[in-house]
Amino acid sequence: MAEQLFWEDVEEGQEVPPFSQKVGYMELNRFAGANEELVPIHMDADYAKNVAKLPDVIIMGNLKLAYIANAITDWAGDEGWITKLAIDYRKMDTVNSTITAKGKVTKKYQQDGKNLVDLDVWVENEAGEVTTPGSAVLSLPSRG
Amino acid sequence: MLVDRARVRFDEYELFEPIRAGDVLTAHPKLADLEEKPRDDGGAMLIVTLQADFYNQDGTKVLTARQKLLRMYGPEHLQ
Repeated sequence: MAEQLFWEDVEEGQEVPPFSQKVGYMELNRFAGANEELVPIHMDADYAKNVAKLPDVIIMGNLKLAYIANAITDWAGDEGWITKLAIDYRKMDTVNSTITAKGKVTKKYQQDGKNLVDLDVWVENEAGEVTTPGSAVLSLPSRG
Repeated sequence: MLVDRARVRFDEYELFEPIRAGDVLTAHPKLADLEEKPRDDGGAMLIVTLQADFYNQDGTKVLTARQKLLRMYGPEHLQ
């Protein structure tokens, strides 16, 4: 169980601890089952390369979104709550590469009785390129 | 060249209230926006924005999901 993060302990500019995963066929196929996303470009290298003309089997956008959510919730603890998550699937990531979900606090504020934190979030490939930028809003408990 | 599958380009989830085991959710999906942009090859890119609002058994809105899909059309498909 993750340690609880409190709103008072967050500062603008603070980084979310990264979540890294090497994504093989095991990860892709398990997620395809869970997400009902049984699509050849995410499972079949022959189809991906020769029919869809992609560089290789590509990682589902929703799996990258899930890794970003993992990074945030692992950091925020059980009482933290993601109230908004928006992701732009800009570049492809391919099977058997290690991708890393990261985040950074851009704003800390209180609104409608909630203690909120705005975040820039993104997924990087092994070369450190941002393939999948996004933003999130996190609601946190207060020590007060 | 026609890409026959729409490609998901953007996802957004906004959560208003917790969703709990046993809740009965009703989704109201709609076509929120359609935008067409010209491509360099004379074809077009169609950007389809879908939105679904989810309500629980008490009529409370719990979630809004938005998705943008891209669909590419070559010049030969615009006759």
